[in-house]
Amino acid sequence: MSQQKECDWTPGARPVGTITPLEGCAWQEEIVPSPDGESFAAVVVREDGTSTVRVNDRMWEIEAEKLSFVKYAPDGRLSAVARLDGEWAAVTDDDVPEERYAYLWGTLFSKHNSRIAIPFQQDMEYGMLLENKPWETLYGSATNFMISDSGMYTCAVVRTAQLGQADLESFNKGIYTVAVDGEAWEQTFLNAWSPCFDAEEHRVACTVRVTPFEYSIAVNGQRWSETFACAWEPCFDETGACLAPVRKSGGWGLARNGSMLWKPSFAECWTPVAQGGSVWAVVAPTFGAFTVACNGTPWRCTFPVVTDLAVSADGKRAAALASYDNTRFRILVDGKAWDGEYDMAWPVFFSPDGRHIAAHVRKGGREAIVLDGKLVAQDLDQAWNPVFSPDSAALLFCSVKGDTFFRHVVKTEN
Amino acid sequence: MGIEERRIEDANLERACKSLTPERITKVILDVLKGEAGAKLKVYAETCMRCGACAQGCHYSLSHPGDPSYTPVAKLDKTIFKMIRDKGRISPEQLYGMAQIAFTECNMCRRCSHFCPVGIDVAYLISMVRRICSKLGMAPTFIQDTANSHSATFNQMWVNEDEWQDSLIWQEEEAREEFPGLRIPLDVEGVDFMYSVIAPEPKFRTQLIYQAAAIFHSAGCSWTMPSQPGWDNSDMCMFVGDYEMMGRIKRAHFDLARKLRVRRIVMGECGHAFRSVYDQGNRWLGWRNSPVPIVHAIEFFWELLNEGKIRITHKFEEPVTIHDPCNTVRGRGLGDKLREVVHALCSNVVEMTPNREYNFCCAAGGGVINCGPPFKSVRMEGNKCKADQLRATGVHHLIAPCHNCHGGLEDIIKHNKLKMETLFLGDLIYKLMEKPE
Repeated sequence: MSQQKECDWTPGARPVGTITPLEGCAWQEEIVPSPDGESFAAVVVREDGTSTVRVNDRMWEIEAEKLSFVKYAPDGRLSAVARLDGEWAAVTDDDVPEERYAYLWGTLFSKHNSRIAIPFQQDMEYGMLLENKPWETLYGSATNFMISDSGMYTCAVVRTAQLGQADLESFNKGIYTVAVDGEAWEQTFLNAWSPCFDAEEHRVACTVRVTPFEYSIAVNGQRWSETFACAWEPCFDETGACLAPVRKSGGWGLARNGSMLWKPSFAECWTPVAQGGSVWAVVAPTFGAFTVACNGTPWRCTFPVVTDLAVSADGKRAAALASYDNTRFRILVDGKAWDGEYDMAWPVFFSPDGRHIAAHVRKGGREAIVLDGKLVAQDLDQAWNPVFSPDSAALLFCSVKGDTFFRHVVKTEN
Repeated sequence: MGIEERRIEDANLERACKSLTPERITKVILDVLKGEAGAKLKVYAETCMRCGACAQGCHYSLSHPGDPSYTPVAKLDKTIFKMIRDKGRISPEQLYGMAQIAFTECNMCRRCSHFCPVGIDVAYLISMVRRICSKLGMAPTFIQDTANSHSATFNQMWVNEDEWQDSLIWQEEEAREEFPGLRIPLDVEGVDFMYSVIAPEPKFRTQLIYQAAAIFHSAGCSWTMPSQPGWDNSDMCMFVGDYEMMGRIKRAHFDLARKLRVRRIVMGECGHAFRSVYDQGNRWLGWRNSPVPIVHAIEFFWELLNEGKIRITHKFEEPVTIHDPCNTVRGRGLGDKLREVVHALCSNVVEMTPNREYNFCCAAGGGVINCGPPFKSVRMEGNKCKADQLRATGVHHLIAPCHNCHGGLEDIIKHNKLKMETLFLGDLIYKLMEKPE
């Protein structure tokens, strides 16, 4: 959802500008729309080989050797990482800070408050920047970078000890854990993956490997006493309980604080979402047949592939994408497939009140926006994911047709 | 001669052997046999007639004439069949030998299955031995280290995220000198394909990334590479028998492609990775097929040439021969397309004998080369028949569209002083294609 203070929700399609490369540009990279749809940006390379960013028909002043991860934050700030004289800087709205790093990549934004976090490497040590402030403690390696929803905290999986060439002994001691704001948990594991914050942001959970064939979930470093044959990414529910798909006796189920909540009867179970007292996940009731389950009960319709589970804010509704091995995409809502079939589909979004659902799709090389099962825009050269207004009354999306970038707003009730 | 007489020291096998008790070994074997193997193993174990027809299918066996201990059936008899027969009562010393057989004397190439009158999948049976050994910590040091790297970084060579991206930017900048405007697009959504490679490419074969980018640029492809972990399509966890990690890294790979909304994944010239993404890893995750279609470089280059997207200025005149990688030719049937590509590029192709699905393995596959220097001699002595096969072609250029094959064949060529150069298809296409003035 756009967090820009003023967003025009007046219905209609409005041209914002032309995307034709500006004069003096050797080439232009992909268009990135702003959250309010009033701007678009792209990396451009000048005739002299320097890189900069265009925003609508204006170019940034920066002359970089390379620009990457050009993305709008939810509040509309345009973030990028830029290589200047062989070092990298975290640039925001053409403002280049003095701080330089050996490497910056993979910019993250918080769901609320629009804070910016960026992983970095300096002198072969790794950490994260939060609003350009680096972690005080760095590590020999780091991955699985995360920012909390409020943007107050960051975390990553880090290696806490040296590891030599073919050094099985050190690895077997368990030298991986989670660092929150650079502070590593005392407890270490063979591996750690997929950290997530709870709603209060007081706790972090992650999947851990305890021995080569025993998996568990750790919360603030304390792992469940139970171990499983395998485990996927955890999540927290509103009560603060930790949930995770686990494999037991050859099947997958869902564990809650270490105890089985859903029987391990599925051929697969992943991407759990706990919301409004319900627990949802993508499951495969049998091999090769995927669907969505709510509180352990799968929908009747199954497809070879089901992905991108989305749950309404009240936890009562869910949607997902289904495909036949990445072809003939369908949008699944509340256990049924919408009529349309697409060559490609992007994630499905619920309106804040949970009454409306929208997605960006492609068919026959043309892109479109679907709202509540109906096409509200079609025959577009390119489209981007739609966003709902805070009151759920309108849907905003951007498109390109010909060489014109458009901003569209449609009413959800029409 | 049996495995007892040819024991090779490996630090991890030695350490694990000392730490094991017979009780633990028995428990793990029985747990795997009962809990994981099921009917498939029982059928194979009970239908194998011990006829020995598989001997002619195995390069180790053919390279050790007169030593029946290298025949597939003997290797099964000394490992999985003995585990079943003895109800898991195996000593640590015996397990060491079993691990050495399973990890270093079988490439899981499946050639022997062509010679088995009842079609027993020996590779599957050997994989069960590896699974059991792995659960007991009995995997050779270097392949275990590779599997550890997969678990920590999701690539096989401990490549950090910044190193991966920096390698791509470096190759993009190098290639722009020759191809103005060339890009190695990173994380571009909605394009035709995500290109995935194995970790040795950014680590020490960066010219392959350069060449691929040059080919895609020249062909006007709509493509991207991913910035995040999961970019490496390789999978030594599959060969170690750590299927849980195999699933984890394959999920990361497919998730990247899915999030990028690409139509398909095109992968570089690697054989075992193909086996992992189109057959084993995807299925462990519950998918019947690949959730995003996988196109091997052989098929993709065939497509580019057939659609006229790459213009070849001239053919390679020197005689060449073709090595059929096990996983893409025997495993997937790409032998015809491989030949069509090679004939489109080369004017003088000398087939080796045997070839296609009957081709001899390079002896590097199945993770054997990843077991490292202690076992190199096993590969060299165990693949004399490959050296003879290569020598008989009389040519000096060998096309092998597979990374592991390259490593294995280069070792064999050097060991046997064959004076051959090994080439990827990408090497040839890049060399022969039309380039900017």
